[in-house]
Amino acid sequence: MSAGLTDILSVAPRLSWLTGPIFDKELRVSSRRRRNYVLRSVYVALLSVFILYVWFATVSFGRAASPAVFQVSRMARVGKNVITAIIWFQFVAAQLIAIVMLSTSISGEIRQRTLSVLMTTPINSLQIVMGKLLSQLLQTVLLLGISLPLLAIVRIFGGVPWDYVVSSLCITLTAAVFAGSLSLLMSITSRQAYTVVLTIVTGYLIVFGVLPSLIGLLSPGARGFFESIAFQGNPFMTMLMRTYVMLALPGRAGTFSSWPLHCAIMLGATAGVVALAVWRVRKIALSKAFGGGKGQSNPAEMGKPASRRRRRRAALPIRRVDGPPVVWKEMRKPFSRRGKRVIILYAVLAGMILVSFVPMLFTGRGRGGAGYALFYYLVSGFSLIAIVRLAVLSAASITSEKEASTWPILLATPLDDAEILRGKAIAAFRRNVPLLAALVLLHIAIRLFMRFGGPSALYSWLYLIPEVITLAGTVVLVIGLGLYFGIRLKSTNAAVAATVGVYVGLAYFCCGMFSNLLLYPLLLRGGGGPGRRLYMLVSLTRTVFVGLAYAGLGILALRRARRRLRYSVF
Amino acid sequence: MIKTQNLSKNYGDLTAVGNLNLTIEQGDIFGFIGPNGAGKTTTMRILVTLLEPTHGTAFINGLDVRKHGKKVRRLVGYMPDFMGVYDDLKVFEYLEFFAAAFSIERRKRKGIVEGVLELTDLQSKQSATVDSLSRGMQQRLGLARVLIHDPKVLILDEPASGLDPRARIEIRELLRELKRMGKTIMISSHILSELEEICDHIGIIEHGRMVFSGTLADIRPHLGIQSKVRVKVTANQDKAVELLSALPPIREVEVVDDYISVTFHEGKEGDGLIARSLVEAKFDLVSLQPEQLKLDDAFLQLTKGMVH
Repeated sequence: MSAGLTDILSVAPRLSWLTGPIFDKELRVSSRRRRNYVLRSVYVALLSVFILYVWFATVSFGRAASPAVFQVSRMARVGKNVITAIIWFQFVAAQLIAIVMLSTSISGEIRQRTLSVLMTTPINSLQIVMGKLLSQLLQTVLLLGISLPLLAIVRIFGGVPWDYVVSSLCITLTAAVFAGSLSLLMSITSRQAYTVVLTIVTGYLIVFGVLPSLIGLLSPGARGFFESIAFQGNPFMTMLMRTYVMLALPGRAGTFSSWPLHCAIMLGATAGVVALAVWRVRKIALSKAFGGGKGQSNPAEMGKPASRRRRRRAALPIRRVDGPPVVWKEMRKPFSRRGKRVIILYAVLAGMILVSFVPMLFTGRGRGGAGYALFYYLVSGFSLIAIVRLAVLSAASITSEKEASTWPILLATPLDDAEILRGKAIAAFRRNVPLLAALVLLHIAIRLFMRFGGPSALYSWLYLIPEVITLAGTVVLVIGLGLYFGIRLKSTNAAVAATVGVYVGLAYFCCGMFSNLLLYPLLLRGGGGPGRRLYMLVSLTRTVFVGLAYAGLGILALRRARRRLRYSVF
Repeated sequence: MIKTQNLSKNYGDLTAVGNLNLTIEQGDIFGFIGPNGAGKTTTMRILVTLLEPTHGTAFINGLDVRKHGKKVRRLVGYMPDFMGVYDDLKVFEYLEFFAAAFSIERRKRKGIVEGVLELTDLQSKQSATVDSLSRGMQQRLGLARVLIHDPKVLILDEPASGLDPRARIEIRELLRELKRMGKTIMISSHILSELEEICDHIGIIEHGRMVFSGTLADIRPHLGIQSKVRVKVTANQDKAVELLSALPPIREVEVVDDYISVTFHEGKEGDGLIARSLVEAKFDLVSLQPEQLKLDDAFLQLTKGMVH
């Protein structure tokens, strides 16, 4: 045992050629960062809540079906469900954490002007990239390690083969390594962590979710080809297949996909991304560090020859201040600093939504159609983007002033605290109006194209009212939270993360998951009779209540924000 | 115009400013000096209502900064030590935004903005984006912003830091012009020679406490330093030393290089007596120059280099 440990430790120094002193430095720094301990605590808390939810959901269904013999006959099923929940939670969380933790790995060095110092030492680009990547991934692996004992305990219930647990962990690890390397690559060119996170998450949704579904939907004949291309390189599909086989077809683990091949593909892709990062880190990061990057307003860039973007901005006419000054100033910001790239992204998304209409129009009308499902997920994705963008706009409207040191200057003017907050809130809303309007139109479009019949049609149109109320409440909530956290926290990344985190927590744990638990018995009472109508009524009331609760919480957050506006100016 | 009474600001156990008493009269330029971390910036931030004092209070034009924050902000133009800019705006837009923030009527704004642009010599840059300006230009823009609402009081935290010599001279001239316009200016800087040239009064702060406040001339007696003059004669330097040593207000006479250094007894001065005595004794007097106490020397003697 001790000999084995010595062997492992003796390998560690030999890795220094790969990571240099960066790995040690990162580990040392991360051990002092409070956020890592917070992250572990939040991870464990979320995992526990998630397991509890799955447990109670399974128990609710089980009891309704066979209350007397549940404890004995359904243990294996509970075991399967809980392990599946843990594995999927780990799978999603590990990738997300890897993306978040590496999202400022290089941009942080650029911002602190330490990258240029590193570049003057014998440390090479490969060591910088690998040192950063491995040190942060180690934190992710530690998080995965936290839930391993839980997996072992739950296996006592039985029904879950070991190979599923092992293969899932391997898929999770390789997916996290790939996501982390992508995040590191993007952090070379993106200054803000939330930009990196949002871009990767949106890219994942499109490449790993929407695109394969769309291909499958539009060309069902090309199944074999689709499997080989889309499944083997798609961690979500691979994991989905492994889970499906484990739950539905025990003993046929290798039928749909070969997980070792998938892991090899992911590691190969990671190697490619890392190679690209190594190539770019010296070239682009150095130019950014010394002020050569376009679109970066760092002090080193001041007075430098005008970039194309700056020349274009300088050519624009002077606009006179009209109306409330804070709203005017906020509205002067461009729709997106990444201009073309974001517009292309939205165009791709809009195109996909339009394309998903086609099969609905000709084939899959009604709620059960595959086209509807895809369309519904696209709209959900679009909603998420709109909400996250709203969170970013409202939180960043204050933290970006803090980061640029303009906040004290604004507060030294006679503008009222309420006037400043109102201006920021109105501007955040107005800048997001195109996306929110599109969202409302999409909800109307669902109803128009679905052509529900009978009572369902009335219900679907009736449901539009609470949906709009919820959307309005969500807007108030997200703006309120964004401004509150913008005032409380110093960095845009932290404020955006807190805003989105609290919103997601409220939406999915308080208002989503647990209220669903309460609604299950109603749904199960079932059929198309009075039980179904009662379920619909309760569901409708709940949606209205959620919307109003969101609005109330948003107003509360705004009031707190106003009270704290001048508490932490610097 | 500016007055603080036992002004204190604590951050936990740390006292950033402790019982600070300060008075600045209308139309004065007050130089606020101190080592890094002495409490200058904290004091200024309290004066412009960005920080709440822990104890004591401050008044601007008789208005308590704790009770009349909004009115005080209308009276004061504040330029922080590190001034950020809105990089999406052009110079004209930037200034007009602040004009609007100070509730200046829309029809008057254009003229006012053009006026401050002219005063700060930025007319040619009005269409440039703010982030494209050099550091010196951005400092000028900061001054232009500070002047946009014609404040009675200017509080400038290190306005010349990071500027090249030409820009510093220009800022100095601008401050003199503002003094002529009747503004009360409180300015902090680490370039003491510059403050020496423009300030009427200085305040030296260390460890959150004021160690000296007054004119530069007040420092010498404050430090117990006697007045000195340098005397230069064409010939018979030894006889001149003999003559001067016999004069009653003079404590010490010594030859340094090619001139005679004369030290008076404490509280005594007698430049006229020296000149009259030498001329009456038929010495060819070339020059008689009071030995100035440099602000740098005074600063070094008054402070101990203690920082938080």
